[in-house]
This record gives sequence, C-alpha cells and structure tokens, in this order.
Amino acid sequence: MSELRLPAELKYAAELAALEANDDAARPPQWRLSPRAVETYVMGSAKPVGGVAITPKYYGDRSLVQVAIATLASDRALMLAGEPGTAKSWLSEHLSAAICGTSLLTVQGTAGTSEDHLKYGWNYALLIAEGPSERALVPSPVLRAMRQGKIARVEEITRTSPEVQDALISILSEKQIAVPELNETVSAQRGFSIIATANTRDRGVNEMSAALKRRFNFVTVPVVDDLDQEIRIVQQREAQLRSDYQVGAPPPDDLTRLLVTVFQELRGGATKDGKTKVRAPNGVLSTAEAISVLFNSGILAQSFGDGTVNGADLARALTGALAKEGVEDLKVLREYLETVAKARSGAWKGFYAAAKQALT
Amino acid sequence: MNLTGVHLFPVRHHSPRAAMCLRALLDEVRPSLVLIEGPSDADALIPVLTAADSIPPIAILAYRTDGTPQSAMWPFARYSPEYQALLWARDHGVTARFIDWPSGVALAADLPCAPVAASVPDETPDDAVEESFEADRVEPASEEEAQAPPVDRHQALAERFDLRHFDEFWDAYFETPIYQPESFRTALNAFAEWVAPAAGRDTESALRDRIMGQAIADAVNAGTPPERIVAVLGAAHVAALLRGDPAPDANVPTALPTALAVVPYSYPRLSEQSGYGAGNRAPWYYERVFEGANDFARASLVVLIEFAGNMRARGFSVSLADVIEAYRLALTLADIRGKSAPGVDELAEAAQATLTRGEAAPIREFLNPLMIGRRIGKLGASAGRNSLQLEFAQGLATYGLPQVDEPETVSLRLADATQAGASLFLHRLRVADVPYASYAGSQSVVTRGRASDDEAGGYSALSRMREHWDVQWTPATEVALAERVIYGERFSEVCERRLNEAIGSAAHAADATRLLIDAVLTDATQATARALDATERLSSLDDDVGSLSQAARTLAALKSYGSSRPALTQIAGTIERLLVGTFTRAMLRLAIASRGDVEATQDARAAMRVLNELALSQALLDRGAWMQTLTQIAGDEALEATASGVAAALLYLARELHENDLRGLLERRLGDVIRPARAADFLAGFFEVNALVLLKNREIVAAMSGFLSALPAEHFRDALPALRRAFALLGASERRFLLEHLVGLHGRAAPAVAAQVLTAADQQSLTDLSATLGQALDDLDDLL
Repeated sequence: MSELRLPAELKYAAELAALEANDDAARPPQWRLSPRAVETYVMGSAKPVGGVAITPKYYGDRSLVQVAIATLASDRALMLAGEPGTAKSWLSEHLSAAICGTSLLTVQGTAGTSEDHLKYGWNYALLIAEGPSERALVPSPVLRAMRQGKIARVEEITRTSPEVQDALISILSEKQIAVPELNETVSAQRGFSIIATANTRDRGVNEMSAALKRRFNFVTVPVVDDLDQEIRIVQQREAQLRSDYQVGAPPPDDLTRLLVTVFQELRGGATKDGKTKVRAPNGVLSTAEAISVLFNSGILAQSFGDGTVNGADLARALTGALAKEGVEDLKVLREYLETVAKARSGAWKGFYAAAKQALT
Repeated sequence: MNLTGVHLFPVRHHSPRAAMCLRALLDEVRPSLVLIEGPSDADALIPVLTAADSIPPIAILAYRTDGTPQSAMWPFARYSPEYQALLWARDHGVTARFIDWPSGVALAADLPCAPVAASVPDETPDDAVEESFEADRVEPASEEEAQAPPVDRHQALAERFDLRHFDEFWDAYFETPIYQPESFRTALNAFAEWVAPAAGRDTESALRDRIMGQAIADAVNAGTPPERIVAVLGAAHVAALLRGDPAPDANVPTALPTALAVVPYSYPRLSEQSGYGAGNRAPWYYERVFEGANDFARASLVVLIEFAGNMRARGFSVSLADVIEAYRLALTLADIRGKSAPGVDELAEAAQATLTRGEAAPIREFLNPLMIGRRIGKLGASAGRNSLQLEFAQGLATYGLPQVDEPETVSLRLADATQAGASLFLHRLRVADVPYASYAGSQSVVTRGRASDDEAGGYSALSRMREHWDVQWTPATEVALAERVIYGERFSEVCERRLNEAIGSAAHAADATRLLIDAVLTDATQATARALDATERLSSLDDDVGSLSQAARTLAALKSYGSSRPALTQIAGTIERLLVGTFTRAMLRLAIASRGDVEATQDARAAMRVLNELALSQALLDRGAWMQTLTQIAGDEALEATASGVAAALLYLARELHENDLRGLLERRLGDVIRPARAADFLAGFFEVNALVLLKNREIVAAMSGFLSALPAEHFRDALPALRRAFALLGASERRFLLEHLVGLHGRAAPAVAAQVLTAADQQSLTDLSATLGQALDDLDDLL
C-alpha cells in the first residue's frame, strides 16, 4: 500500500473485524458494532478481542466517549467542541469508522464552503447534455450518508458561513434533502447522523445560531493536562506518523517528556510545580502541535543531524513551530528558557544550550 | 452469642434502596422488636425523631457536659433505613431500641463524627460479581470507617467494573437494580465480605460488633423469640457477626459525661459526608428516588425538568425537546454502561451535552446544588429545646434573619432600633462563639470588601452606621447552641461568662480594650467593668507601644462614641483617664521603640501614626508634648532612619514643621553620603505617610534630587535596595508629580518627553478600552 494515510476503517480493519465478529450485544439500526464495542474500539481493550489487540485511539475521559456514542445512537447530531489540536477530528474519524464503516463522508468547513457542499451539485457537462438527471447529480457527502444510512462528518463548522449553517439546520431537523430539479426528495435512511467539530478558539468568527446548537448534543473535548497521559499520546501518534511516512528517527523518552513539559508549562502559564509563573504564547500549543514538533525533530536528526534526536534537533523544530505566531512567541520561549529551563538538569542542559543558539 | 433466627439486616446509611428493602422485610416479618445501630442512651429521643411534625434531615447530637467542646452527630435522612425502621416501629406499636455503644463511649473513642456514617457499606451485584469478590480477597484493605481512606478497597472495586468512583458503583449495583429484601441482604453481605480488611477489623469496630451482638443476644435471652427480632446494622457489622469474629483484645473506653438532643440537620451537610459511608452525594435527588418507590428514571426526569426550569429562569434557552433529549441520553448512557437506570453521573453528563451545550459551569453551579438540595430539617413541638435554642429561634424570627444552609448577606442600618437589636443579637452570637454570622465589614455594599482594621469588635465598632454580616445556618450552629448552655441560660449570660474568662487571660492592654469593646457591643455590664479594670492594670505594666497605641485608639473611640451607649456614660471619667494614661505611656516609650533595624521599628511606626491621629483629634491629649516627641524622633540620628522619616512627615503634615526647617532637615538627613542606606530609609519612612502631599512640594523634591545627584557611584549602589523600596511606594499620580517637579527643577525643555512618559503608560489601556467599547457596541447592535 502506498497511500500516505489510510482512513481509520482500513488502517484498523483487523481490529474492527474482530470486534464485529465478537460482538453479540444489540446494535442500533445500521450500526456495524454495538455501542459497547464502539467504546472498546475507541478506548482500547486490555485483553485482545478474538485474538486481536485493540489499541486505544483516544486517551482521556471514558465518559466523554460514552456520551458521544450515546448521542449518535439517538436522533441528535454530535458536536465535538474544544480547543484546536485536542483530537476532535481524530475522535470523529474513529467514531464514524467504527459505527458505520466509513469515515470518508466528510465536508471540510471553510469560508468557501457553500450549500452545494452540504446538499448536491451538478456535473455541468451532463446537465447541459441531458438536462437534470440522476446521472448528472453530484451528491454531497451528506447526501450520500443520508442515502446509505451512514455518518457524515462536518469539520470545523464554525468556519462556514451562517447560510451554510442554516442549510444544515433543515437537514438535521427534517432529515431529508429536496432535489426540486428532479422532483424528488431524498430521505435519510436509519443510521444517518452527523458529527461536527467546532473550534472554541474560533468563537465569534461564525458563531453558531441557537437554532443550530439545538440540533446538536455537545461534547467538550478537553485539553490534556496530565503529563504522563499527554506523553503517551504524543509518543504513540509520533510513532504512527513515522511509520506512515517512513521517515524520521525515534526520539528518546527523556526528550519527549521534556517537550511535553515545555508545552504544558507554556500552555498553563506556570511550571508544573506551580512555583514559577510563565508567560503564555499567543499560538496554540496543542497536543497535535507537540506531535508535529517531535516528528519534525526526528526528520531533522535523520536528514541533517547524526541520526539520533538530540536537544538541538528538538530546539530547532520547536522554534520553527513557535515562530508561526510571530516574534512575540519567540520572546516568550526565550524568557521561558532563562527563567525555567536554565536551572534544570539532565536533558534540559543540552536543550537549553541548543535552543539559546537557535534563537539568536 | 447465639443469634440464630434473628433477622440481621445489613444497610448502608442513607440508602433509598436499603430503606425500601428494609420496609418490605419488616412488613413481611412483622417483628415485635426492632434493634437499630445507634447510641444506646438515645432511646428516649426516638419519640422526638419520629414525631409526625419532625421533618428530616435531623440528627441525634451528643455533646460533652464536662466543659470540653466535643460532640458527635448521627444524622438521618428520610430515606435512611434506620429512620424508616423507627417509623415502621412507631406505626406498628413495636418497640425500637438503639443498640450501639452509648454516646459517651463513642466520644471517648474519639469518633469525631457520626459513627453511623462510619459503619457501613456493602453490596453486591450479580453472581458473576460475587465470584470475582471471592476470587480476589487478597490484599489487606482499608477499614470501613468513612473518615479513614475507604478509597482503596472501594475504589478498586469501582475500577474493576470500569466505573470511575465508588459512589457510581454503589448506584449502579445497589441503588438502581430492583432487589427483594432477601437478595439485597445476600448482595450486601457479599459486598461487606469483599471489602472487609483481610487483616481483621480495627479494635473499635470489633468492640462495637461485640456490643451490638451482645445486645441482640440479650434481647433473645430476655424472652423475645429470635424470629421476631429485626436488627438493622451497618453491613460491615452484620458481616462480622455472621463470620463470628473473635472478641477483641481490648476494653471498651470509659464513657464521658454527655447530654443528647435532637437537632435539625441539613442536606448540604449530608452531602459532605461522601465517600464510602454515606451514598448521599445528592440528598434531594435520593429523596425524590425514595418517594417514587426507587424509580431512578422517573426521579432523573424530575431533576431534569426542575433544572431546565432553573436554566430558563436564568435566561438560557432550554426547550422541552432538550429535556426529553437529555432524558433519553441519560437512559442510553446508563444502558451503555450496563446500569439498569441512570444515576447522578448520567444525569450530569446528559444535561451537559444537551441542556448547557457542553458548558460545565452551569452543571457545577446549578445542577449539583439542585441535586444536593437546601432543605434543613425541622423539629416537632415535642422536641425539648434548651433556652439558648429557643432564644436563637426567637432572635431569627424577630429580626427576620435567614435559617438556610448557604451563605447569605445581611445588611443592618444601626440607626434603626430593630436593626440595632439585630446587631446586638449577632454580636452576642459572635462573642458566644456560635457559628452563624460572620462580620463582613461596614462599607456600603458597592465597595464591599473590608479594610484590614475593620473588625467585628474593632475600635471602629462604635462609630459604624451600618454592618454587613455573612450568615449561614449549619448543624454546627445547633451543636454550639446545645454546648454553650453550660455558660448560661441566656446569650447575655453566656457573653458575660465568656468575656470574663477571656479578660482573665488577657496579657496586653490592647487585648483588654478589645474585650472592652466586645463587652460594650454585647451589653455585658459586668464584663465591661472587669475589662476596664483589666485595661487599667495592664496598661500600667505594658511596655509594648503597638499594644498601648491600639489600646489608646480603642479608648478614644469609646470616649467619642460612647455617649450613644448608656452603660458607658457612668464610666466616661475612667475612660478619659485611661486614654490619657495609655497615650502618655505610649508616647514616652516611642523613642526607645524606634531603635534597631527597619523591621524592628515596624510596630513603632504604626503606633506613631495611630498616636498622631489621636493627638490631633482628641483635645484631651497633650498635643505640644506629642509634637516635641515627634521632633525629637525626626532629628535624632541615633534612632532608626525610617522611623525618623515617618516622624518628619507627620510633623510636616501637621504644619508643625515649617518648609524651610523641613528642607534643612531633609538636607541634613539626606546629605549622609557616607551611609546612603540610612538616608534612603529616611526617605522610605518619609513617603510611607502620605507621599502625594509631600511630592507636591517642590522644595522637598529639590532636596531629594540634590541628595541623589550628589551620591558617588559606589554609594549609590549601596543605597539602591533601600531606594528601590522607597520609590516602590509611589503610585502613578505620585510619580507624575515627582516627574513634573524634576522637569521643572532641572529646567529641561522636556515637557514633550514628560508627556510621552505619561501617556505611554496609559496608551495600552486606552487602546484596550476603546476595543472593549467597540466590542460592546457591536454586541449591542447584535442584540438590537
């Protein structure tokens, strides 16, 4: 297989098949797995199921995942809200893969998203040649999900314009899309639902209307603030990226810990022991960002360094990530280096020296 | 002990399911004797507990009568199985008795609270679970006491079932499933066995097992057929009796002298007894459950509807459709978790997902308090109440003070006779140490938050126009009311005695005058006289200027505002004499106290300012002598420089020091380039008083500027810490004056620079302000 990134349902096909084969609990209509089995798929299982180890996909509050699954089993849509980089899309992908077998019915919300992306468009060549016909119709992922009784994903819903959000209201409340050109109405099959994600940092950009909010159950995906938990996430996801892209060197554990500590301390505005205050940067220091910094440092080490990730590789990747939001954030890092990192020992020594150099 | 045939019924305290199963058992067995875990000397209180006009939550209170404050409570909710057993016995004309060790022993064994809560727990689920219980009885676990960490073993159990905490486990496996009395008993016994510590029970629990077992055996021996006895005990006790644990190798502690009473209890307090012993995270909710014959789904719906109403009243848009969705989500969640009905956790999560759109705050702020409830129990007319409890109840009624277990604020205008009466009442409660109201300052409500010296019984107490109090009734209030009776039958007597005690142990003049104020505030005439004597005695011995100056200030307040209190007019002469005496004594000791380093003179500096205020405001005092004292301190280079600075500033502000003299003094003190740190200290003391007025004077700024410019570099370095300290005291407007004068003095054509310095600081806040305003206008537009 040469695809860069496989969708969850293919990548974890073995796990899903094993769960399906061993799942004798009741399933909601059209669901591939029972709610319990979906939960097991997402949270992982200590014991192998049908001989297949079920790896955890999401680290964190089990009850949050349960609320999400219970929502999808009802007739409300699910809204995953949270800070950027809290694995909302990741969770959405795995939930839809486990529940309906595909995570590909996705609409990416942007400022340019139009109603067509939610409903249907036309193949204009055919439209002109044959007039409106089923063949000329280009169904949106949402329309396809309705026809097949599957789950559609709408990413970053807060980025879309109010008109598009309004279109979603009627889809969610009536569960059908009218196609007047064909004089027909597509009604959703059982099993249809929507998982939307919303970025709470975007608040005020395109604030959702009360009417739209009412169609959703909200699950807030929290920022991970447990050090060991975030380290586990970062390690697992970084290793996955490395194997997907077949590039990069594995980072040593102490550097991973160092990096996650830096992220958590900058994010929280104080050191882990609570003794020193730290200025928080403007940029979003999400878990996803930490994963990407760690992955990048592995590539730097492999391509330009000595093959093992050291403090210098990490420092370069980190400054690159922080520079995105402008020089202010680099100042924040410099301040952090002097007030916090300087006094620490172990891996911090090399990191401090390298980061100082990288910043000048 | 032969307990064969006796119906031993294990319970967890405050469990609706246990209460319901127990009632079913009682109806079936129809016992002629009901024995209940609870202090055996409390039998006389059973009619009060079960009176038709008593409304739970109520508690048995036991407190020591030997003067040591210690007490214990045994609380009952309506859904406590013990309480239901008492009611059943009442309704069927059957004898009910408590069989645990007596309250005096419980106190001696140092069970600070609720042996009831201490003893229980228990439970079990289906067969599979029972197997796993047995499979795993290895590690020693914590014991069963509520206050000790019950966590380990109970938490471990919850985690075994993939649940987050023990309360959730308990709800899932004991409260929500439907049980018959027999199956419940089996389940609970199996649970108790599983959580029982492998290393054996602690001595105290074992002693109580023994005592209760013996009491049951005695009842059998006395002729009641065993099958007609129902004994209601915490599950751990039942398990121990069933196991036939050996007699513990210890003696029962000697009983302390106690008195018992029934007192109201409250839901908020009940909910605090979480952890293993109780199961009452949400008393209001559990009571709904119990009322609805343990239909958790229905009780959950009631809570959701109520919560939605609350949310709407607060302006959130919550529709009926949302409530229905929340309810369905709660049911689905319970289903996914393998529970037979939703409980507290599912309710909260479902409400957050649907009703509050993911926001956690409304759940925390409104839903949780709603499920806890605010109810305070009520006692029936038959409850004997002591004179203080009666006076307290009467006081609340007379003055319209709230009896709720959540903080409320009461504001009193003292010019009004009734409200002044309320103030007297609250001060008496304060002095009697009855926890109900705490003083929250005298400022207007807008500027709430009180100055550090605005204390309930502070020197300013007599000059107040209004008082704010934070009031909250808690069961501790009742405890104190019961205990304080040893001091007297009325609050006035209690205050007299307590003040007398405190006066006897006062060590400083300031303590004595503080008590004097309390005595005046509570109309305690004997204590007033004694406090006055004590002030006289102590002030003639006191060497501490801090204490003396505070005493003088308090006495001055008594002199100035005492005319409003008849009790004080007779002693006005004594107060004046004492005022002059303490003031003079403090004044004479001031110079001696102004030696040492900056820290050492802190009290002296504070005292200097207090005394200065008095000298300027009280005609009685010798102003001339005071100014002389200040002049001496300001000029004496042997004294600590900060203190001298304070004295100089006070002199200048009192217009006792002419500008030229001040300039001379400043130049002399600041000219000390050899020891610049001393000069800087002087400056710090000088600014400490009123920097603004001082810096408005160009002469003073000129003297400072001269001093600083003349400092050689190395001396400047030495003086830097002290200078930093001195200038750190300056606020924004002080700095502005300083800057303006400096610019003027040095003749720089630098107004532009100065202006920029001025605005630079404000620039950002102006930008922020206009952004905020713009935002607000936008919001307004949106709204309209």
